[in-house]
Amino acid sequence: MEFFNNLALGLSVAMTPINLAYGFLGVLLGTAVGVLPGLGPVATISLLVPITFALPAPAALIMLAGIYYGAQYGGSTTAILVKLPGESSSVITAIDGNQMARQGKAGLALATAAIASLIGGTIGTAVIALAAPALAEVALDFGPADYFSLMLFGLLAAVIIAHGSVVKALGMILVGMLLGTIGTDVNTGMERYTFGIPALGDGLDFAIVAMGLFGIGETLISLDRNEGPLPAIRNLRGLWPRWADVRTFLPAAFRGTALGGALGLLPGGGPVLASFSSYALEKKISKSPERFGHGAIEGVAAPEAANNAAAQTSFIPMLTLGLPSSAVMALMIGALTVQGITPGPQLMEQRPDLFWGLVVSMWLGNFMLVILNLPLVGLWVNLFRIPTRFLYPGILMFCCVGVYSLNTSALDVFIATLFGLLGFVCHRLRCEPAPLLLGFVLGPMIEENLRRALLISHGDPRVFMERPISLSFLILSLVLLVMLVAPAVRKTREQAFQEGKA
Amino acid sequence: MAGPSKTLTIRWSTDLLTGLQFAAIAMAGGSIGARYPFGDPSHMGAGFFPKAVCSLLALIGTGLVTRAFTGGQEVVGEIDPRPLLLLVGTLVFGLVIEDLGFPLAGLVLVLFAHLGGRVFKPLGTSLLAIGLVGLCVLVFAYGLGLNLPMTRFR
Repeated sequence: MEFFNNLALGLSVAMTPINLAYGFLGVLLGTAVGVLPGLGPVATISLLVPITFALPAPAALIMLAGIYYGAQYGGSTTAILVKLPGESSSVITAIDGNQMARQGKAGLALATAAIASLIGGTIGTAVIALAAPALAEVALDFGPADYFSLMLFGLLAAVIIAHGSVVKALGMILVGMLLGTIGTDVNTGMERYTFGIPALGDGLDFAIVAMGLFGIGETLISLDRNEGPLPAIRNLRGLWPRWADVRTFLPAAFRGTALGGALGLLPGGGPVLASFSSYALEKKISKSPERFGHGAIEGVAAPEAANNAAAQTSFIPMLTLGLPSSAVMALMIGALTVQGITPGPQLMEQRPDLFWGLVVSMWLGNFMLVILNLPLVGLWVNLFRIPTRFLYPGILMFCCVGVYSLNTSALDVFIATLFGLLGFVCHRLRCEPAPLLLGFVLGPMIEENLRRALLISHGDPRVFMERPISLSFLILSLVLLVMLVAPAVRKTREQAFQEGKA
Repeated sequence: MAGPSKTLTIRWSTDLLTGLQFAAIAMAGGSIGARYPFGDPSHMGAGFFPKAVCSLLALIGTGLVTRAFTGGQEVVGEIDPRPLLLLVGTLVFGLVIEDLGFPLAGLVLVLFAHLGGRVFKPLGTSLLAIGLVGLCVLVFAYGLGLNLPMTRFR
């Protein structure tokens, strides 16, 4: 009964005109950035975070969330039509989706992607509604030692799943943690790494770090790659699938949803890993695996369902534990913190309107997305044709305006420039910038929990082993470390990412 | 598109450069952080955590440098420094926005953006710059009420 009362509360929040409007704006923007290659949800959300400061908290969260899961829909459109995935989570969709389009089944591929996405998205949201409250209750018992071990586990998991070198990703996390210590130490009042600049006393603003790394940095990277546009497939007839197609792709979509939803929960998991794994699963269990890569409809349905399910369930660690499992979630936490809201186990009791409003808005948003993406697909294809020479100066200007107007400070623009440079250098050195942002957000939390745990135990490190929750996460972390070193796992991991690049 | 682009080729491995970068950051962080009190585990001082992070980072940096010398390395390769002009653009944007106002800063930014992307054309770039500045003034200064210098005409 309580569940339905909660849903009713969520409905009343999500249906207010302002929240509906911002939810729609979010999914609209999300689709747009999903379609545009080179501009992803991380960059867009970092650009829009400053704007949300002026909004009420539910509207802000609903809009930012909409951008994130909306991008999962939009990303598949260009993946199918031009074999140019708008998002990294659609890379795998491009393989079979584009083959289908080349065989004259573009409409069917798009419809399959949209329907599978809807299945993944709505079930993923249901999982949030059912599992998050229970998990939050468990999380209330978490002590500082438990949080410390959990975050350690989360960071390690994030590293394994990140592309590229594990050692480099670990280093990037540490650099992020070091950057996170800039500012006044909350416990001792001592200023660290401020170089006597008063504005740094409150620490680096995470929105500026994010806009520099992802907004400015990604713009530089996209110029560096110098990608030319590819011819798009324009024949979009036959949007509605036939029964025979539905029978093939529905089971695949449900399997994708289950796998994606589970992987989305993992720290560092999220849509990319989900889409890769579900594709691999479909290929493995299929009776005719040779069709994969040549336009297999399951190869579109499963990864698209999986990436949407994962996009939804990756909200769970953020909402119940206050832990970001990805750069996007780190951005959401940042946006909420500025609103004076600390995501965590107390969120559901203190702000049920926020939590349930978000859940209901996700359902509404997923339906809006199907309408936005299916009948209006022609529109988005045109958006894709905007030449980059118009686009990237605009992104750059939005970045600068956003950074400057955060605190009306020119210094912030210089700091963002520095992070833009860092983003570019890291790209050339084959380091992913996302772990840095995770370390930056988690660093202060890790320090605080480590300090508290050791204060309670009078400096005895055994506290991390004595608490069952903490101990289990430490054991899990150890397992992860062993797996990392084990050559077999390294090989599979490399193969999985190699397949994605093909 | 301009003719053949001038590029910079770096034959060092990415591992080596990343390792050196991490080690340098760790050393800078460690030496600046040396004067923050360390405390003891039960009462961590301001320097405890930064020092722990820096030591780990130094370890990883050393590991990468070692790996760079034991084979299996990927070199950085060709770098086109031209896109870095975008950063000059954002720098100038920050320098002039307070004194000369947003419209001018925005125009300069688009100019550098197009120079950096090798797509500069006098007419096209100016039109885009004016259009984008106008859009930003409309959306940000009037629409969202952000305080951008010299965008309100009284």
